Parts: sequence; structure tokens; C-alpha cells
Amino acid sequence: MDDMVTITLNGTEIKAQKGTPLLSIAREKNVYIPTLCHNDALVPYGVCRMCLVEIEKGGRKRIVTSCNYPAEEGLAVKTDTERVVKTRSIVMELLLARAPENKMIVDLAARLGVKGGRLTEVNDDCILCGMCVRVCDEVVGVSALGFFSRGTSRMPTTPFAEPSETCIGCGSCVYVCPTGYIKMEDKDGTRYIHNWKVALKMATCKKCGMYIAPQRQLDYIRKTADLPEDFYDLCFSCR
Amino acid sequence: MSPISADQLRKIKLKIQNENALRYGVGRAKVTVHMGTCGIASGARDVLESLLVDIAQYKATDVIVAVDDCVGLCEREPLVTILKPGQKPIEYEKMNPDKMRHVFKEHFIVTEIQEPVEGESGQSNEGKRSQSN
Amino acid sequence: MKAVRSHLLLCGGTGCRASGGMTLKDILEAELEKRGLSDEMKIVVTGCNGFCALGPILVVQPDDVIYVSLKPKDIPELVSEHFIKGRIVKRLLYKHPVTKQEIPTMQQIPFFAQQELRVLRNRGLIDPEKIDEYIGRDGYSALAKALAEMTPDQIIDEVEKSGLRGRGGGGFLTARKWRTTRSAPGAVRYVICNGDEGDPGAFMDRSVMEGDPHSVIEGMIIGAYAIGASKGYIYVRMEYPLAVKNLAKALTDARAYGLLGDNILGSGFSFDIEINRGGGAFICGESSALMQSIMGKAGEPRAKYIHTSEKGLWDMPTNLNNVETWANVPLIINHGSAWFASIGTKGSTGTKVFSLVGGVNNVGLVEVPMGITLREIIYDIGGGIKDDKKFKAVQTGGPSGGCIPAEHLDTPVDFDELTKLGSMMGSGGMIVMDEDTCMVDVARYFINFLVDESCGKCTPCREGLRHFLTILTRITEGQGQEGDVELLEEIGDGMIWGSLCALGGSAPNPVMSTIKYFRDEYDAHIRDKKCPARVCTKLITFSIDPETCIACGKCKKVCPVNCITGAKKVPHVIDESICIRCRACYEVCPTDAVKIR
Repeated sequence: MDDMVTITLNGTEIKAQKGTPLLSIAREKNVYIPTLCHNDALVPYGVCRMCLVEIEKGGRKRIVTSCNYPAEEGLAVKTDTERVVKTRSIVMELLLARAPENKMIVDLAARLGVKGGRLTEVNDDCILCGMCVRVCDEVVGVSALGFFSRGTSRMPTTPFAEPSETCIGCGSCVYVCPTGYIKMEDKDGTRYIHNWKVALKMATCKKCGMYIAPQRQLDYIRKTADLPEDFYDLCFSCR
Repeated sequence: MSPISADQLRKIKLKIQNENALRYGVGRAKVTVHMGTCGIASGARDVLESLLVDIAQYKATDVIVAVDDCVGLCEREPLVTILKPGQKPIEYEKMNPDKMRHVFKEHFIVTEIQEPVEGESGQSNEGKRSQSN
Repeated sequence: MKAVRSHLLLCGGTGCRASGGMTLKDILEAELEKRGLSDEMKIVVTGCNGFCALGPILVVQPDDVIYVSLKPKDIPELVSEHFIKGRIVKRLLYKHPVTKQEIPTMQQIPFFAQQELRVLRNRGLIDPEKIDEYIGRDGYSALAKALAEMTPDQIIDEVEKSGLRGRGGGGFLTARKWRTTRSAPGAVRYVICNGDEGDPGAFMDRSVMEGDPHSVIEGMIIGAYAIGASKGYIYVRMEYPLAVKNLAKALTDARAYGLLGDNILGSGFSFDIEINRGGGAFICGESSALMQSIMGKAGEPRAKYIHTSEKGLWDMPTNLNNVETWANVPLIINHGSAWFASIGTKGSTGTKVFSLVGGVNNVGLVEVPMGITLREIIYDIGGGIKDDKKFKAVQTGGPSGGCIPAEHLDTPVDFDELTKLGSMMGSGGMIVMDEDTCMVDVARYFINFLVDESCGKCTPCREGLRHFLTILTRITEGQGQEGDVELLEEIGDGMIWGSLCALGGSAPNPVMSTIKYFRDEYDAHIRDKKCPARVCTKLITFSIDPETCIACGKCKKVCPVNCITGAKKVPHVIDESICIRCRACYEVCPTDAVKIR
């Protein structure tokens, strides 16, 4: 195919489809690049800055995020230059100060050989990767979440931080959250997503009485997928 | 306002340049009326008025008018100085509205008529055209 | 009917309006009426003159006399003396800060004399609300020429030869951007004017948009024709209501004349412009964030692996230039690239407008050829440092610019030289600081601004700024630790290389440059717990020298916490345990008996 390009990855020549994000190419070749805001189901966002790599093109070296930088002919990509390691380490240290008790962050820092202790701790498990906001918009299509404020007070939340009226309680945000910051709980027939102040009644199976999913979620899917009215009357086991 | 052509654009430019000549200090001549207390007492204000009326009438807005203080020749007031670029200033003394009118025509109307009326270079084209009509 | 013999050019810029310019207009009008001069003296409200600290400003033509800091009570004298008798009112003239000599004309005032007016070519000369006045100053003749005599490629070639670089901060070659946008595939193309001037103390773009809106519009139409764009946006920040008003009027008038809209000047080219008001976020001055904002989304930058010139607004090819860049375009078309490049330096041609503020005698807007030295700007045009103080540093490029010390005052000002010094051109802010400035405190001040203005999207900028502020605050409070400076440098390095956009990449400049040039001040704060400039309140003490104190009681009166005691003829004493170090006593003491240590 004529839209194949040749790049080098840490010195090894590789053929790749033009435009493929460098991160995907590296992963395919088992070259480790840490990421915190990447999910294959989402459009690359490039904000955690953990996936930085050094590229050289026409003699000019740059540091770019591999999650969204597209492969192009003649690109030389290096994932572990001194510059990359140094920058990635300070980014890791900044995140470690933000979430110093978060297991995922602590483990990643340890893997990258980054120690904390130099910076004032913030103690916020949300690392602002934005995956919750993006999944709700790009995958679920509900857009119940957005960012509030800017700078250091930026946080993901519902409009006006009020209990969400659009959240369907699907829990996608919980599944994609890399740090476990978003807390969800099913209790006595109600699904709570505490971060969004959401409490949704669960629908029950007309046969076995088991809880299926929040009624609002089932209504939403039925509507968007144009399913029959009684489609979710029964749970998956009873069908 | 309605849509204009490139030619009309040029015409507006010339018109405004002529109207605003005094703002940019580029005129065909500068007429100074000396308006010290002595000048005003001997009628300089009327001389000025007459000059301004003539300029308006002949649309000679590129003739710049200035007022200045007394120059120390109080017995010869009202005094008027005419300065044309590259020429020595000419002083007129004991002026009155009639003499002013005469001097104005002498300098800015009669001499101009002897020049060719058409031409793109001068900013005084508008003035020339209107007085020849 | 009488001819008008004098134009009274009253500055209508925001600065002069703030100092009462419009009240003055009413009073002047009434006085002219009273003295029977209404039909021979015409008041023209012009755009900003740039000498804002001395407003309201009135220029009397054809006499070419400039009056400054006018008060309503000055008007009757001005009318009877100058307008009727031709006597210049000396006390209302500008006075040279050093020689104290009165200077009657603009050209003789050093502040104006050394400037090279190109972008500000119509400053103080035209009424920005009248399109005809702009046309009278050669306005729209470049557009007529471009449409009638030049192909889009010829225009881009001419701009390329001129060497014009983006005036908004990036310094990217304008023609290259235009060419990329022109050749990028897309059903529509857009041009944008970035008027979201957000740097504290900067007002170059505001002045142009308010005072000469048509110069920006004409530049945009020419650019749009060259690029093949059909729609343009002017993004103006919310805080510039007068700019929005004047631009809106200018657009309406240009449309009425057929200079915007369908089939412009009969050329077959159609283009129109819309104004977009920003919400006041600093980050929206960043091009990709600005485009998000125009599209109604939150103003956050996006990754630059795809240029906005290829996929910008609604994923269509979009060219964004700053106000000043656009205003340069008609000049290049009218006078040619060689004329444009005849001044400036090799890599930075033409002029640059700076807003010169801070500790200089002449504060205001200055347009100078690129390559002029910082010293010339600060000492010749700026009239030197106020109150005979010593120069300490000049901060260029807005809040994320760097601080340049005295040893580099002879550096020629252009894009590349400023970058070499660890600062940047930015959009042209220039803040002059004297010996009484604490450089650590200055770094803290700018970082504090940036902490609020960072969008917070990417880790290095958001978290880096957070820790910058924490560390700088503790240093200024005497809690600094060994290693803090090195830590600041490490974080700064991470931000420079790791940030998503140029704001994050340049945000460390105030910190990095002050460390580079004023490391001793950091050390004094950290090791000796002293603030050499005696600014940081936690590190200074106030006392009264009993020898010089005349016991006048002034300090006692102004002290807000009543910590000064003393009676008549008894030297006063400050109680350090109560003192809040507000400096009020220091400022008010007639014998300089209050000492700060």
C-alpha cells in the first residue's frame, strides 16, 4: 500500500500505516511507554504527558506525546533519551505529589524510579486525565460531565456540580478512571456514583427479581438503539 | 452609503485629504492672522472671518489658517502673513475684510487659474475644479 | 459659511477616556459655542495617542501643539489664549522630566520623536469611527491594488519577501502560514484576527483596534483574498468594549461601501468578518484554544501535531494572525516588501509596537524599528527611570516572559535576541523595574497570575505552576530551603519540554530568567533570610531613626494598626510586634527617618 511509511523506533526500522499514533506502533513492538490518559476506545488527548518521546525529523529534534503523534515518513522515534527520561520523571514526580497515596500512581512512580518527598503533597486522587469526561461524551454519548474551572482548581464534574440529570449511571467513567477516584456503589436497589451526586433506581428482572441496571440507562439504550419496549424486562440469565 | 468602486475610493481619498489638509500640516499655503490684543482691537477678528468665508466659498481648504500672537508691530495691525512652501513670507499690514478678500483672490484664485487645471499630483485639484466651475 | 481653520484632535483612547477625556469634549464644545468659534474650530475624537499616562491629550492643528493632562478648568484659558489670540498656554504643555523645559509639539517630545510609526500610522490623526478619514490616509488603497493588480500568489510572495513575522508572540513567518492554509484542502477557509490581548500591562492591540480598526480589517481582507478564505473572525476580549464598538462600526461601514461582503470592489471576491467576544481567559490568546472558544467550546489548547492552518475552525484550514500583524499587511502591499524590510534586523524586519510600562518616566505605547536596543527604548523614548532610581530589569513578552538585567541593555530587540536571553518578544509587553524591585517577588507575582490563567489541562503546566508558587512563596517568606532553586529549575525544565502548549512552555521564563540573572537574590532570601530590595514583608523590619525623626506625627497618623508611639518633640517608635509592614509610615516621613532593614 502506498500510504505505508518507514520510521525508526529506538534505531529499528519499522513499516507502519501513515498516520498511526506512535504509541500504537510502540505497543505493537512491545516497547514500553507509560500512559495515564490513554484508552484505545477514546480519541487521544495528550494531557498527562507521560507518553513523551523524542522525534527527529529533518534534523530537528522535538519532544512530543506519542499517543497522538502520527507516523510519517522518515521519522526517527526514541522512547528513552536522556531528555525524555528527565522530562517524564519530573511529570511523574508532579503526579506523585498530587496523588501520593494512590496505589496506581505510587506503583508507576516506583517502576520509573521516581521518588517523592520533594514537593508539597496535594492529596487529590484525580489526576485530570479527563477519561471520565471523554468516555461519557465520545463513547456513551450522554456528555453528563465536563470540567469545572481552570488551572489548579480544574476538576471533572457535572454542570454546576449539581446532581446530574443526564447521567444514566452506566459506570463507564468508573471503569476508565485509572486511579479509582470515581466511586460507584450499588446498594438496596440504587446505583450511586458519589462523585456526580447521582442516585439511580435499578430496574429489576421481571422473572428472577435481580437488579439489572439503572432504569435510566436501560431507557437510554432502548431509545438510542430503537429496541422494543419490553426488551429489558428480563435479565440476561432469564432470557 | 452605497457600494463604491476603486475610482470612487480614490475620489474620497482626495476629498478627505483636501478637507483635512490642515490636520496634517500639508497645505498649499499658510495664512497667519496676528491676533494679539492690538490686532483684535484694530479689527483682526473681522479679517479672519472674511478669510474663512472666502476659503469656504472657494473650497480652498488646503489654505491653512493660523492665528498668532502680536509680532511687535502694533501700529501696523491687523497684520497678515502668507507663507507658501519654498517662498519667502509676504506680510500685509493694516488689513481689513475688503483687503483680505482682495489678497486672498490675488494669491489663491487668480494665480491658480493661470495654471493648468487638470493633473493628478496636487492635493488642490478639488479646490481648483470647484472654483473653475 | 465659514471654513474650519483648526482641528482639535482630542484623544479618545480608553486611557484618555478614563482620565476624563469625554467630559472635556463637552466642556470644550460649550466653550467654543460661547466664544462663537464652533463653526471654525472642529473637535475630532481620535484613537489612542499612546501617551496614556498624560491624558487627556489634545493636539491643536495646524499649529501642531500638544496639550497634556488637561482639566476642565483649563478650557476657558485655552480657548481665549490659544484659539483666539494664538498664544500657546505653556503651563499645559508637556514638560521634559529632566530639563523641566516645556515642549510644544509632538515631534519635539523625545517619547514621540524616536518612534517609527507604521502600524500606528494613523494614531491620533483620524476619527476611528469615520471610514472616509481612514480612506483619506490611503486606507483601502492596498486592498484595491491587491484585488485589481495582484494574484493571491503574488500577494503571498510579497509578504514572504517582506519577512513579516507574527506579532502575537510566536514570531512565525506570516507568509508561510498563509501558504500552508491556502494549499490545505478544505471546502471553506477561515482567517482569524487574535485580539485577545491578555498580558497584564499590554495594550498595543487594544489601541489599534480602537484607534484604527480599518487597518486591521483591510489587512484581513487582503489576507483572506490571498488565502482563499470566505469568512473571518475578530476575537476580541470582553474587557475591550470600545474596541468592539469601533470594530463593529468599521465593519458596518466597510460593508456599506462594498469593501466587505459579496463581490468586493467588483473583483468577484467575497468575504465577510464577524466579531467574537472572548470571555476574558488568558489562555484564549493561544491559537488553538481561541479557535475552540470561537466554536463555542471551552478555551483549551489542543495538541499541535496537526496545524490549525490545515485543520482549524470546524476542521477547516484556518489562518490566525495577531492584530498588529494584520495591520502591517496593507503597508506591505502599498509600499512593497523592500520598503517594509528596509528597517529592522535581518531576521526581524519592520517595526514592533511595545507597551512600555513600569518604572520609566514616559509610560505608553511605542512603535520602534526592530533591532533598536532596550537602552534606547527605556532611556531615550522612556525618558529613563523615574525618580532617578537605578534600572534593575526589564520584563518583556508578557507574564510568561523573562526578566533581562542591566548588562544586556544594549541588546537589539528582535525575536531571536530576546529568546537568546531567556525571554521573548511575546506580543510586546515591556515592564521596566527599578532597584526597589525584589526579583523573587516579581517571579512570584507572575507565577501567581499564571496559576490562575493556566487552563489546567496538561500536567506539567498545571502542577508545575502550583509547585512554583508554593516554593516561591516560601522563599519570599523566609522559609526557603537549600535546594529550592535547583528544584525550581528542574520543574521549569520539565514544563518547558513537557507542556502541551506555548503557555506552559514559556510559563517558567519569569522563574528561570530571574534565577539566571539574579541568583544572588534567591540565595539572600534562602540563606540569609534577607530581601535585598527590602520588599518581602516577612523579611524586613521597620524602625525610626531617633536622630532624624522630627516628631511631626505624620507616621503615627497614617499607621493603620496604631503601632507607632511618640509625643511632641519625642522621637517616635515603631512596635515591631504589631507592625504589618504596610510601608505607609515610610512613604509619608518627610525626613526619611523610617528605616527598612
